Amino acid sequence: MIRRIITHVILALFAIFALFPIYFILITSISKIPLAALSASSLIPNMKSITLSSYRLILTNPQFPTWVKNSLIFGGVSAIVGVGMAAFTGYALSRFNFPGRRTLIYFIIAISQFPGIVLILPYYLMFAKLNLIDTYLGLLIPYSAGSIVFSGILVKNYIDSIPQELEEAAMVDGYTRTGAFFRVVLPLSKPILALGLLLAFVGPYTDYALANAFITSPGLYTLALGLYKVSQTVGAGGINYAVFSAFSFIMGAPIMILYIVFQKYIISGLTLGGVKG
Amino acid sequence: MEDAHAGLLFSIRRNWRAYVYLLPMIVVLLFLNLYPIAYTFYISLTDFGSGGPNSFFNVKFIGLSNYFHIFYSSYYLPQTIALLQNSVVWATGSIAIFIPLGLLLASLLNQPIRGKWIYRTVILIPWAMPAFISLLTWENMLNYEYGIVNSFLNLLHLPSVNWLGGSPLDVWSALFLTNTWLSFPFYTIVFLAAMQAIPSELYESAQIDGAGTWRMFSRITVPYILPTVLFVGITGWLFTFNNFYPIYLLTSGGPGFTSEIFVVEIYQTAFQDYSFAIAATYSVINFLILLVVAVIAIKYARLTQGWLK
Amino acid sequence: MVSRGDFLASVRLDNISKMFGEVRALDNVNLYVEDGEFLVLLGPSGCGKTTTLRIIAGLELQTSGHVYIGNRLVDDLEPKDRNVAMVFQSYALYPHLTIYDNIAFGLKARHEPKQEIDRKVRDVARMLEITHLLMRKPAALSGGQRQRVALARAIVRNPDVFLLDEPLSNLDAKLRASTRIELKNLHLRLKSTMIFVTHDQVEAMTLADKIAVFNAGKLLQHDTPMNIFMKPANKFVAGFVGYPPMNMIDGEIAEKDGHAVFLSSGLSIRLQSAPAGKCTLGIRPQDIRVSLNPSDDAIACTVKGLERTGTDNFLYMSSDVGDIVASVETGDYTIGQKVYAKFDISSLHFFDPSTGKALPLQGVYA
Repeated sequence: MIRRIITHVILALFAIFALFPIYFILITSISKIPLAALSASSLIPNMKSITLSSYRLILTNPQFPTWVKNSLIFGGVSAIVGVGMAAFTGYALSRFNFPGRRTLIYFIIAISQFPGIVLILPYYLMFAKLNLIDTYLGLLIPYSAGSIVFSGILVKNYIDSIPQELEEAAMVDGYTRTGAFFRVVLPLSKPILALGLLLAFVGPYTDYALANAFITSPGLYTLALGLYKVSQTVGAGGINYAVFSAFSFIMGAPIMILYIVFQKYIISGLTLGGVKG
Repeated sequence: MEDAHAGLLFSIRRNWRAYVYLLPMIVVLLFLNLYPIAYTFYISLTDFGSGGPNSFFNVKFIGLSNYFHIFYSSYYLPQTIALLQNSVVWATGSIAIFIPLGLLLASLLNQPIRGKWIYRTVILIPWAMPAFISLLTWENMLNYEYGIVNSFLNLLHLPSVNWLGGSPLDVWSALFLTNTWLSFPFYTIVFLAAMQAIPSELYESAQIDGAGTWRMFSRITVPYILPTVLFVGITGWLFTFNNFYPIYLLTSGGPGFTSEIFVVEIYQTAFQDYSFAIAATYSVINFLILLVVAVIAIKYARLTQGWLK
Repeated sequence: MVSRGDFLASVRLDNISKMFGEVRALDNVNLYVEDGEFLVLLGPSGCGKTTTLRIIAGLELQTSGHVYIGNRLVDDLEPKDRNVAMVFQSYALYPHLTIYDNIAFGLKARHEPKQEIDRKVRDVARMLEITHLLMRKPAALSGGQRQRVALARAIVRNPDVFLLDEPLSNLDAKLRASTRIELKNLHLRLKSTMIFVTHDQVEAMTLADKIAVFNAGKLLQHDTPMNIFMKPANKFVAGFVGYPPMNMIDGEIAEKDGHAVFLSSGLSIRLQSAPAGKCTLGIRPQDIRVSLNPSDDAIACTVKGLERTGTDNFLYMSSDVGDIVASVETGDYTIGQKVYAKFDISSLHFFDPSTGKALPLQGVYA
């Protein structure tokens, strides 16, 4: 009995801990502006002073559509390119037993341990030389590259679980190996490709470091860069909490909801092979 | 009997499709992974950027002179040591919190209690929300003058803490607190999944034998989930060591050098000071450290696993 | 059904060998299958029968040797160009397609006109009585139904050769028996060459025009079921076909009183002329008469166990020459009982103990 109470207490505490910052964002985003600071007492919203004006402010900001457009372009294009290529890559790693396969897989695992952040430096220098800094292409290339390797492994693990007999049946029925890939394996891989697209999108969508290094012209700003700029002016007499929170919520809520809805798939995809050690 | 259908050349010819399919990945690995690493190494051997932004690409090869500076010069050495210290503290401290916490919460969630799925879903929220956004929010919440955290403390008649700019204790507390908020869901869920894979008959027969909670945990649960814990712990350590955003967004490495870690320093040296060569040097050292740790960790993990089986 | 014209759908394997790394999966297999023949590849797991099938299909490439379908050398042809159809053990139905699309799959691949495809699919569906399932997906079907779909998919393409990889193994016993009969009827109706892989010797005996027995990568015997049963070419085949397995008694051929005799621990059987040496005697349980009364030419045995299947009874006994199983009419025996087993001299088999090859020796009545 006591054990049950303690369990609930601890879990509830951490639930509150987990929930609090999001609750904070929500509350501040619907609070009245101007709001220089938020005191603990105003955490419980006063029903009379709820307003959506912060949201309105964000959504009518002339720069906002540009930010959205760029974030969607960078995230979307790189996700499609990356996962598209990963489909082929994952298939090849799964099905073909070619010379050099094992070496390649070890190499991939070794490389993926290398943190992406540290690659920003050489990327910047390399792309500066190619005059691709501050362009769409300049960012799309590293973003796409980042997802190919990761998604490739994701797809490979998934295709490993599709019985080879299905492709063999297709080949006997009248298709080449490639035909079997397009007609049988690919349609059956839709779940993992969708998952891959989601994960490959979120990376560039929330990227600040690389974007900040590459982009200087405001026309290319993404939501991430915009959010950062807004956050740096909070409380200093500039944009206030409410607007910043509204912005945060607009940018983050879609992702958060998607992650919660698809949590099972995401976790199993991310830890496939990892949970078993 | 001739073996015309065996042999390396034949194998390559037969599998030509594989190489075509893999071409994009190989191109990416070569040009966007291998080459940048090599290029970084090369840059670390030059004086790129030491002349300010004007000397872009006008570099001189200076060999290992940068490394020498980093480890011996009176300007850089304390920095380097601090970087090392901070990075290790950051990674190790974080993991030291995440794993026990994750185990605790996973154990609690592994029990048959009402409303389990509510807890589970709510606890996942920090993981579901993009870290970048959450971190900026935490930055605001931890603000010395306006932040809600200090507001709460004041409500309890406690003094405000300078979370993001005060003493090392203050600053690291803030960092660990925030990182815990970001990470504990993932560790909890992963450990929970590992625990749920343990057949319940083991617990039932142990209960019949009279084992208590702790005994069941240490004798049944621990051996089963140890591979998972090790894997997650090692990859988590490596990930945290290079976890750029929490520190960059919350403290920018400050105040001074208190919370500066390798990746943040690299980024700042490169994109604020434009001292690319120094940044590259730090990158290489960072990479070497990680390589060594990863290799040791893998060997150790494999040994323990084999011993367990 | 559409006729195949004059194409002779025979299959010939010429010195086929297959290595998987260091392991020799097939060792110099030579096989000729007649046009329209129902051939069963029979053997235990890992004997190479499925590998042989896959090599004929083109899913595996042989390490050496040649494959001919009709008179065409098909070594360099991809599976899709060999005009064979395959039914997999797991049926391999495409889970994301309806039954209709599953069956039409191969026809679509060959770009046949839509009306043709529709007509053919419905014809086959009618023939196999699965018309009512055409719009469903494989997941909604039972095992037996899926098997029919797999068959339909193969039949609709009108291939030269049908390859079936243990298609009955996943069915329950009752369904297996009825499907066996249907398969046989199908063969009579289509008159196509069918190559059928199984480890179940009952299936082999009932379905086959000819059986090819494999073990450890070698083709041991290729003959009609009757011949395989009555005249096994070696010890393995003799022991593999027939239930319960043939009794094997090790012994020696020596000379006694001017005659050649087979001797083993007190058992003595006269033979027609035979060279001296070690020898293994084989006798089927059905060729042993068990009696409660001793006689000169019977061996003393002790009952160890009894197996009653309702229709047959098998008596397990121990004796000086080893353990013996005999087929008996009634089940009235008790453990430990003393009985006497008499061999039918005209049904003896002899094998070389080291090579396993059958020896052309004959028993002779005293």
